[in-house]
Amino acid sequence: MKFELEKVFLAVFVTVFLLIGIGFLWDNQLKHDFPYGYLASDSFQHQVRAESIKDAGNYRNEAPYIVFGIENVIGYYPPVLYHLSVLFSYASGLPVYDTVYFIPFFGAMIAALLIFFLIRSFNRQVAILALPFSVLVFAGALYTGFTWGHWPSLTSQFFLAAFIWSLGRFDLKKHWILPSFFFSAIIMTHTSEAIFAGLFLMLYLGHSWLIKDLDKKKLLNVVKMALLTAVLSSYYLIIFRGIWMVRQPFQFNVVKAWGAPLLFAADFKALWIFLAVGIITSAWLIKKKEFFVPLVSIALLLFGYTNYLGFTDRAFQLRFFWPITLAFLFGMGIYQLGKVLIKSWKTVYSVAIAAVFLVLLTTTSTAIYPTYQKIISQGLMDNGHWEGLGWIAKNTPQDAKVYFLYGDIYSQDALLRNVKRMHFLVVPDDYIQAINDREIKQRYETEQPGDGGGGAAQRTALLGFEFPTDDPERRPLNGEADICIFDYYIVDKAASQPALAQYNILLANEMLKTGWIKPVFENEIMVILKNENPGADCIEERNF
Amino acid sequence: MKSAIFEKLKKEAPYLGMVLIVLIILFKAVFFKESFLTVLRTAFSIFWLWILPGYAIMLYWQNLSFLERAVAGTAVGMAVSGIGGYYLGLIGLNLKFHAALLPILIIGITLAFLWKQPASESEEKEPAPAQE
Repeated sequence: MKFELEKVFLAVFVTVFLLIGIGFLWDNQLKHDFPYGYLASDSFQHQVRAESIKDAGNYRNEAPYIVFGIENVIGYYPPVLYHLSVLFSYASGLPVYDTVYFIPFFGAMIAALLIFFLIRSFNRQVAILALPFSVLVFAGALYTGFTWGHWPSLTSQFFLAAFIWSLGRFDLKKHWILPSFFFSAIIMTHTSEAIFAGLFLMLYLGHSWLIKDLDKKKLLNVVKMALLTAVLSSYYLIIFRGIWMVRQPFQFNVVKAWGAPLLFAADFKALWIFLAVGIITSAWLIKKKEFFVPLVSIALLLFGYTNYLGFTDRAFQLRFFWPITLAFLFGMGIYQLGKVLIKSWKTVYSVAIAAVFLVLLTTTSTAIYPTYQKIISQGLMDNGHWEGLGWIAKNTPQDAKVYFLYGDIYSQDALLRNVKRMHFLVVPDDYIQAINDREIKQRYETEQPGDGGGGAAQRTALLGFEFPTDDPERRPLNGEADICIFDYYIVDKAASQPALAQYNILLANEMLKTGWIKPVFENEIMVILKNENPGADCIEERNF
Repeated sequence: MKSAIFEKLKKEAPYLGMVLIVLIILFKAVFFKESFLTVLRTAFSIFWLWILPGYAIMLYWQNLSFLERAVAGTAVGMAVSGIGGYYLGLIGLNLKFHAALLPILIIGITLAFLWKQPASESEEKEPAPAQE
């Protein structure tokens, strides 16, 4: 068998990419006892939705416990990531909470390889040299794209990379079917990336026109591609048009920050030496067909700044994949600088230099350039909470109402949906005020968490939707509530502020005095109480 | 007369096997604390759900190296099974059957479509990179 250095390096790269991306984060295990390495509420939002689709066997409707207990809410979130994770779960035997987290990492790895092959069609040495840059998707702010749950966006960007690869490798003159598949997948995974795919398509056509490569056949194939895409995604696009474009319409708005760590191009620091050389040396190709590859990097760099043009946080999300989409500029920069010293370039040089950069970007820690930052954390969830939430899901009636007293992790409220029942949560500020006032009350400020982005839309006709949460009678609870009306209470026994946990236990003991509220589950983390007489006074209000 | 696709499949079957083996080794290296059985099943699931159906679809586009087709095919397999799974679920086929049926469906339809493909259309050489 012929020894191929390039393929060996590819195998090493893929191993390192997965090892530093998900391997260490997941404690080098595939299967976990609970959602592992989940660092934010959004992660649970996607995990719960995927679980609910698996339970239902389809994504016709949202599970009521996701949307404030409202029935017959149409499944309105882009569905592809969830279906991939459910299929993968059935085939692999891994829990959905593992498969839905795995897919964005796997997609990023495939995207890095597709961009590698795209660059390779331009220059093999540049492709090899570019590859290590991709590992920076796991550097600092960018890693939060994975750990904080921007999974649909990341998976959609993987399809965006595949879409771009298909345009570059085939040219729309020859084929339009593959770009249609990928464009549809972008729309049905995280629709906002479709705007960037569309913008890139226009740039591609503009460049084709510039190099006099835009003919009737290419335009006709664009139309065919658009038609097939419309057919494949039409059902979901109707939902998107009727729900998302109504509830969250585009508004011109310059946004300079969002509620998550943010990467700016300047954060590549010293690596800009290579990126800048890459941009400059690519510029002379602008009137050649080969400019397609530099165009990808330059376009995606600019798209990442469309937060100044009204694309708000969607532009920030696009930056998560910059290390993959800008990799060409990095490789090109090294190659052009290297060519000054070495006239006769060999693949072994590229592999050696790329290996050095792979080591530098993954094992060093310096302020001079960004590097991979290892995260080892089980995340927000733990065995005790997971066991308790699961107990509710398995052992209570479907219409049970669950009330969460204070818990350190409950502010990340999407995780509460794992009870798979309508649920409510005490507002911590009111709770703390009650502790300060040394009061035991029956009414506390309460919120009803849920996914309100789509207004819990119900379909009234093929193109018609109504939004129950707009009806004041059906709005989610957000205010003072009598806590004795609920069926089950989740009582955490420990908290970072011991006074909060002690107050939980005080309240629980008050409720137990009634005789009709009884403990039905207990572990080292929590107690679950069952109220057999919901609505009856269950707490004697007093000071303590 | 033997189909060109049949010949291609015969030729590339060992490569496909190698992809599966590499995937298993790679996954065992990354998830070294996991049991071999779980690693094996996970790697095989990826192979079955996405790599094989994607490879079948990519047989239509022969002017790429096997490796590039396998990687791109994985992306195609994910796109098609994600979209297909959604619609099949909507029309009433419970998702629990998809992991077995969807790859068979995709591979079956693709091979049926490609079976009569003349050799001249399916046998092209890999284009050389623009520069070395």
